[in-house]
Amino acid sequence: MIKSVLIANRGEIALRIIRGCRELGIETIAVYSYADRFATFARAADRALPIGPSPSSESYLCMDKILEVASKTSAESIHPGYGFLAENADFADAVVDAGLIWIGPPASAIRSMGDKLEARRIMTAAKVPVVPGSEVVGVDADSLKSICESMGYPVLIKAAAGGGGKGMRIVRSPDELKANLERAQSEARKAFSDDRVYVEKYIDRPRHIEIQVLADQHGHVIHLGERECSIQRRYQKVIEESPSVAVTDELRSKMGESAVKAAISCKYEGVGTVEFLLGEDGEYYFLEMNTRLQVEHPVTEMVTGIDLVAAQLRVASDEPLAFTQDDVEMRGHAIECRVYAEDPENNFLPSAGLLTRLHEPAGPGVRVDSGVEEGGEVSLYYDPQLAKLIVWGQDREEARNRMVSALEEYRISGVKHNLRLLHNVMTHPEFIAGNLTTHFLTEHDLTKALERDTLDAAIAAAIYVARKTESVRVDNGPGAVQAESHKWRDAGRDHAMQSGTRP
Amino acid sequence: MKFSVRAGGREYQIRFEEAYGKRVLEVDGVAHNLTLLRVEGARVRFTVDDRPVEAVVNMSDTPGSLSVDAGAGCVDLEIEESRFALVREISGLTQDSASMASLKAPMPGLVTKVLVKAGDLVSAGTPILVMEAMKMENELRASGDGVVKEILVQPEEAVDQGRILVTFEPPTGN
Repeated sequence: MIKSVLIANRGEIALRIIRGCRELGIETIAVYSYADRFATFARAADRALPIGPSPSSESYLCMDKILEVASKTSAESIHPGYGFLAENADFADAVVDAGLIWIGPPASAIRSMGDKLEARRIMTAAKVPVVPGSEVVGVDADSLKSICESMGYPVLIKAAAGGGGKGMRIVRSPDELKANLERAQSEARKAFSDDRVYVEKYIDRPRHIEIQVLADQHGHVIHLGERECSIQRRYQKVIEESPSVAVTDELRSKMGESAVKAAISCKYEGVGTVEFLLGEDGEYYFLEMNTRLQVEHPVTEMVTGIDLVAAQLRVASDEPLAFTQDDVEMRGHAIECRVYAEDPENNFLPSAGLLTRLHEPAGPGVRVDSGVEEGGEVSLYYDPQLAKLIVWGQDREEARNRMVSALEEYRISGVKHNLRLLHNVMTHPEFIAGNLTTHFLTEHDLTKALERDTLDAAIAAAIYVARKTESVRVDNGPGAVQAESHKWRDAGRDHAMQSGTRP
Repeated sequence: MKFSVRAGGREYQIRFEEAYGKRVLEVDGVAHNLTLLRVEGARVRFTVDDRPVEAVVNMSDTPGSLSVDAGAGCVDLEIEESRFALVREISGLTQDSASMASLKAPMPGLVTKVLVKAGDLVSAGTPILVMEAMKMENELRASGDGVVKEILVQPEEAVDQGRILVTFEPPTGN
């Protein structure tokens, strides 16, 4: 087993990795930026070293600085967490070149899955379903028409040089095709000086389903079932659950096999995630592969009982998997909510500030992977995620009720946050029914406050304002000791009144 | 004291009195039993009809405008002592709450795009400009109705939190 791990990350995931290492008796080395010098994770590690100024470009993204600390502390391995350098193949190479163990997949797997066209090519070769579409060519209306006929409508026209939705058009029937093609080409020309477009099948109201895979260095590859991550904002996941109501046992083993094929085809090692879009017709298509530990890994841990961080550490230590596909059993249901410091009522604008109040829920089946504490500062330098709230229940409804209750227990003050949005999703009839799509947050109004909370806020405001102008008595209750007159104290008060100091 | 509180799309009339050891809490004319446990800084703890409540009151730059953390969320509200409301009504100084004076930077960041020009008529929700912060592009939108008076920033300009970015005039024709 590896003896020491340098964690090239921050926040809740750094803390998660520290916990995983500690259980296995591995020494942990944290690195922290200036803004994180008081952070929980930096205090939890066995050793913690500063790595530079607050901006991540000058700290957590600096490969040289991280490798320097690794060498200075004689760290044996580096765990990149998620984000930052986790999917940087050059960093993975540099770590290995420095004689350290990289806790992640081989750089070659990161590289090929990071290139969308290359990934598509590999998946097609491995017979993993990809979204049907034409290769990147300058298409004319006639040839496009026959391609679309064979794929079936609706289709999506995309700019070859594209990005940011520019040059992208949904076409729902053949007679809309010509006009949309012209507009897509003209948009593409204006935005990228390149009017080449291609088409792919448009998956209407898709679900986002991903499969967790786990591979060792001895050729064993298994999958740990799916997570449904359809509820997203700005293409970022907000709520994840496992299993998905849309995935039958049969579909799970089919998608699982596809995911295992995908992992084998890029010679994967460690934990990884194969993302698919699932259409309303039950067809699924490869989207991309995330070559790292996912933010939402806890939902899989809760239903399979497998510690994914420990699995990463064991695989990196060259241990073979201790279980086979048949040993993997999904039990009950898990849901994760990502708690963000952001304002859902104002276009999800990130919010920074001092956490003047923080109370995290607890109880049976409730897990909080948090990176913050009361009195701590939420800075604008990093991702606005405060914590992940994960619950487990024997079935979806028990998990959902547990989540509702946990969200009601949660208290955050000092920054704007999305707790109410999460609560409103959890209690929405469409969520209860399991009718999820990636458009959920835009299709439903989820910002409304509970009437009870509004009333409480109004009363609190009235008390607060009244107290500014009038004396307001606080009730001590029958158990309180009533202060009796006391000569020494009275004398002290008199003195304080005269001298202007407090007794 | 009597207050009118506007929150969550409705208005509450709240009477909160303390005199000679007696306390009255009325919401829209209905009496409630209030036990005030603690008022400590911004934190207020009480029970209403035996239901425990903990709230944190956050002040803003605008007088009477508070945001209160209660339950799982934060409630933005406007509170006004009823006698002031009465004075305002009598003197005819009705303030249009939906109009705004300026757009301020909610965080430090970089202005990347300005989406309006002087003289543009905007309403609540109209995108005004795009700021980059936390490596994300954030669209700042109008909070109410108005006409763009002046744009005080340029694209690629770095701004501090609270900096006035755009000023507005009340929409004409009221």
